[in-house]
Amino acid sequence: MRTLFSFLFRLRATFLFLLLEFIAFWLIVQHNHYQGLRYFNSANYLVASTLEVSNKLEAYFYLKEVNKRLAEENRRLHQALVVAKRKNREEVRRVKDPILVKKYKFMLAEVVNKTTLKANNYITVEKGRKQGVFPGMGVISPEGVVGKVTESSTHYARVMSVLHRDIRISAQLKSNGYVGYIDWNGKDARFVKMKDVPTPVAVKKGDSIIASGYNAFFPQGTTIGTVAKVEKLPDATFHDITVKLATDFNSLTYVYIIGNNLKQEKDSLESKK
Amino acid sequence: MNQQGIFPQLLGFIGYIVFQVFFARKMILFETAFCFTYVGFLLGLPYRANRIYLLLIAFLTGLIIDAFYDTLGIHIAACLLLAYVRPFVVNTLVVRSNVNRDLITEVSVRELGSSLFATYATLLIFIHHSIIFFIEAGTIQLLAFSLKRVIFSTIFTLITVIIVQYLFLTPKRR
Repeated sequence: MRTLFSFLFRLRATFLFLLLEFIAFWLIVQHNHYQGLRYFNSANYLVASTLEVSNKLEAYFYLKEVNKRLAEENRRLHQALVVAKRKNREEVRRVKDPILVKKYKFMLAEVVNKTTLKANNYITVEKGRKQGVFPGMGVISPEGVVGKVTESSTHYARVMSVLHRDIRISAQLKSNGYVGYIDWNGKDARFVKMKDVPTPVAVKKGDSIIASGYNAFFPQGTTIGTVAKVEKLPDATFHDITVKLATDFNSLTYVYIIGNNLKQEKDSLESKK
Repeated sequence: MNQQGIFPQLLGFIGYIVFQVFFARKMILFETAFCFTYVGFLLGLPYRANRIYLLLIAFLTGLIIDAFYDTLGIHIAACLLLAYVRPFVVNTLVVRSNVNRDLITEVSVRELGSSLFATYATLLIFIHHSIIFFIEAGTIQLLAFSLKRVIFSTIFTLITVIIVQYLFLTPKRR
């Protein structure tokens, strides 16, 4: 008996190793599904504020580029505003419910951390529960879609980017309205695939891909990207479409978080039997 | 427990973590070579450190790095394996070399010599990086892609770890 105990005692490091390794793999599996673990990610206050300092230093290098982009966006919005104002005057008179007019609410948020080269990428932004950011909200950049909020703490939120295996964004071909979904293969941050488009549907290089009305997180028509390559594999029933993302994830500094005032209503209606 | 004292070790720990989070995290070459200099801390722990202590330190290091990388569990798993095989690798290498085993107190370029230390570091860094990139990729389809990242990242990390070794080379106590 004593030899057995001394044998086990000599192997104590191995047992501890196996136990801790088991915990590590349990954490890997549970990471995205278990609420209690959210303190160990980048939405944690201590981690996020450290990343913020690091990112503020880096942001100086992109100031010029960001300025140029914001100015360009301003120009585009001014132009759109003139058209929208005219249209709105007629439409507001017809739609009586004010909540339908203000279906989406936009919030500007600064990016404090991001990754683009991993198999599953996240972005951390500096807006949290206090400012009304909750899981399930959509996130876009001036150029196009970015992702959706998966966690939010008091001052920060973690965004699952389009460059994540588990994200499913319902997308639409702008030219003919055909709906598929967006999928990322884990390699290049500039490109994604559009799935579920059958071969009889005509797709051309350069076609615009937009968000469809089926997602609750993005307004219909938000740009996703343009078709970069269409391949027809032999015997395949679906096109192999490569989409160039409109958003440049590498220089992403500011994003808009979109709150959908009607999301709850849509979800509760859809969950009814 | 070990000859190096707890205070310099704590300082080293904080130093490596800060360097990793502020600088090494951004140092990515050609979208392929990543830099995980913080493993230098685990590599440089005292030669006679208790194995239980090594495992606990590795777990803590992995947990902190994972929080910053948003990869809960992956760095923990890699650091644990590194800490577990470390004593075997060190002993095997030292026994085969002409270094006097009884005089060794720390695992460093100074006491092992640069070529022996480089062999030791390359082996352990390769194991550590393999775990990180293969778990992260998650599928066998990205095998070649991940292997490329593992190899180039190992080279990159190794260079930084050795540079750190030479930068903080203190005169030998007799």
